[in-house]
Amino acid sequence: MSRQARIDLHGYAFVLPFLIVYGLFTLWPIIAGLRMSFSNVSLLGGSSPFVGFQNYSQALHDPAFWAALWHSVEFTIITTPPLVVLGLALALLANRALPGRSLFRMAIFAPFVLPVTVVTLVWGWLYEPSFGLINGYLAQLHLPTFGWLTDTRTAMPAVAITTIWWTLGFNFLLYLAGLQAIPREYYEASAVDGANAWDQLWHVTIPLLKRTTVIVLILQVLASLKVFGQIYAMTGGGPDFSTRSEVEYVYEQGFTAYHLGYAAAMSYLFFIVLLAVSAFQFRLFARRR
Amino acid sequence: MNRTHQTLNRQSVTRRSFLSGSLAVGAGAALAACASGSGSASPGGKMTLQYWNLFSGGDGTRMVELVNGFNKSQKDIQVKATTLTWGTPYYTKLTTSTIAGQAPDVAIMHLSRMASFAPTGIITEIDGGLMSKYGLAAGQFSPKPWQMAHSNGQLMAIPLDTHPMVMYYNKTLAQKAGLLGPDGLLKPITGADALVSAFKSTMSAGAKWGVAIDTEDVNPWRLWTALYAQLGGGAIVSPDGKQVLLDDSTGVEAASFMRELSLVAKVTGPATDYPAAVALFGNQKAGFFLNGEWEVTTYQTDGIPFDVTLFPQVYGNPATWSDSHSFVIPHQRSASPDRLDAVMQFISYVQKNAITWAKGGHIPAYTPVVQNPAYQALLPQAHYHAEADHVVYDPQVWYSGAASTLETDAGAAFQSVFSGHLTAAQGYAQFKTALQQLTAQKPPQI
Repeated sequence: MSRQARIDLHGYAFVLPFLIVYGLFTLWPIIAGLRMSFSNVSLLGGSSPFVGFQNYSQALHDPAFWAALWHSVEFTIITTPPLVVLGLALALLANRALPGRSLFRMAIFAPFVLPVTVVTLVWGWLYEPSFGLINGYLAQLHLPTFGWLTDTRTAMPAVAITTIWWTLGFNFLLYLAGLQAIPREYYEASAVDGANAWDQLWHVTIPLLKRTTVIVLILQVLASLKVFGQIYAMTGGGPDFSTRSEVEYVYEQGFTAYHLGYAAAMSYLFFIVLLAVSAFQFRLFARRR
Repeated sequence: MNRTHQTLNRQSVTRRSFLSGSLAVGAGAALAACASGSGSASPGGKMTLQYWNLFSGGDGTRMVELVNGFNKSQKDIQVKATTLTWGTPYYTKLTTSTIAGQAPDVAIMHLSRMASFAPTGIITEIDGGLMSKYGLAAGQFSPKPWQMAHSNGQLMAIPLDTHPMVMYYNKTLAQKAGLLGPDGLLKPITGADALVSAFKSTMSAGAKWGVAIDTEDVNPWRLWTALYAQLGGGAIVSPDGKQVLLDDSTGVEAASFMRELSLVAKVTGPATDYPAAVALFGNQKAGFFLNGEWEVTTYQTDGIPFDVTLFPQVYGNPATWSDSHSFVIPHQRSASPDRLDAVMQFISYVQKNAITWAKGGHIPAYTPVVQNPAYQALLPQAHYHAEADHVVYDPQVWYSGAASTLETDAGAAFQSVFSGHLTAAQGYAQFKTALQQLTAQKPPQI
């Protein structure tokens, strides 16, 4: 065996465990799910004949499917800007040589390591309308209180606020790393040219963070579109299905109502949406100069 | 170059052998864990039975007592009970685990889910002979749960209890509000207006809310069902589940009373979830609590002055919503007569000791316990077990029952009536539309 072939063999050997798991748990389910979507197979295991695009057309005519899709999009629209902007803002603050800076960084990132059940449990009690902490403080300050998770107007924003608190640390970390990769000389040179802090931010920092911003945006938009855990745990899709996300609707149809074929079809329609969004983002950002 | 290569080789051989060694150890440990994890005999010859239930309320402590009592009462069988969250997650887990061949040996199922589970093969027929071996006979169970435990003439479950919706009241607040009779019990309250003013009077006596009601999830459906039945509503779907038989004006009137409670008379919060409702009554911030009887143990532990009475008669017919728990035996890939025998032994123990279960608030389905003077004297249970005669169950069709799509859709619509997001007529209309869609669907393929 030639030297190159042996190196290649080692390479494949290292990648093989991941490839096996990837094949079994990602690639194979994608193919099996596609097959499922063309039949009416149910969770109870019975076989079902090929029904063509019936499930797909049913989904496109299902108002709940469109409503759930809109809720996922709505969630993405209200969480992405704060998560990106606040992530950058906090990274800028944490990048300074302040005393206690590592404590500050840890505090911002700490929520991210919590599992979704812990976060939703804590925030569920905070949002409790009758005796939760948030309404308690609002009442003391003589401000109006809300039924945060039980009012259709506030349920989605409430879940969004919880999500922002929970996942901000990740974007913060990416931006912090990006900031620390900017050489100090750029700031010194711009100061010599008469730039103030705002000019430096706008003309030095942000342009040099472009690659980080691209990564953050792509990851954030995709993760927000796929939201499930915190909505399922905090509102169960309510009140009156006003927060039910697409993934949650797919889960309900597949596992609670047993219509696996239908759920599979909806998940592929959603997959197409996600592919389109990713392709659009790549087009927009990854233009090589 | 050669020397570096040699050093590297020695190092990489050491690392490689370490890695392959630990991989071998890990694989061996994993295989050993797989082998012993199949839930069969543990050392000492004891059989371990897996038992799943969804008793996350105050009644859960009573079931733990029963399981511990059974485990202590003999030395051949160890029952391991797992309590899962009430609701759709429980039934989803029960279904998927049975399909995957990982079902528990015995599980709890609401009898209202019989129509959705019996045709699927998830639960198996109960052997009447095995029942009598452990002293359980057909005639020993309350008639309605016993009838509901059958599907197509086959016995598919062993009823455990009936758990209706009742009314808890705080004795101190009721006393202050002048609602108690000379015997220290609540004076009977009949009619919508009398009920609302009774609730209001406890608010004047210091309660934050006249009545605590869980307005989220499926509880609004239960309340609406009770009110609809009290108005003489009758069945809401045909027995085959394909036709909606709702009476619109009755349905809207029932929903309007719910709106009156939260938004007009304002005797209950417009948006209270279950833990909050339990806590409101437990912290003595509510004069009354409309809920199932399963929180009796919670309040006894809290030590608050409370009692329980029948669900109020708001309209002409005395009626309340109810459901029943039962034991079912999920389908196993390889049926074992020994395990079935042990399961029946456990079920028989629980039935015979159902007075402990009754202390959790429920009304046992096993009549020898119900007729026992010790049960008859149990308080506050004695004040409401007559409720079992006037109960209305969910329609017995495949899309209905505890934590079903029907309950979820109905709960969502009537929750919005409580909160004001929808008017009574709109909420009822949304419910009716959802019900019509369900009647048009085909049951999932088996």
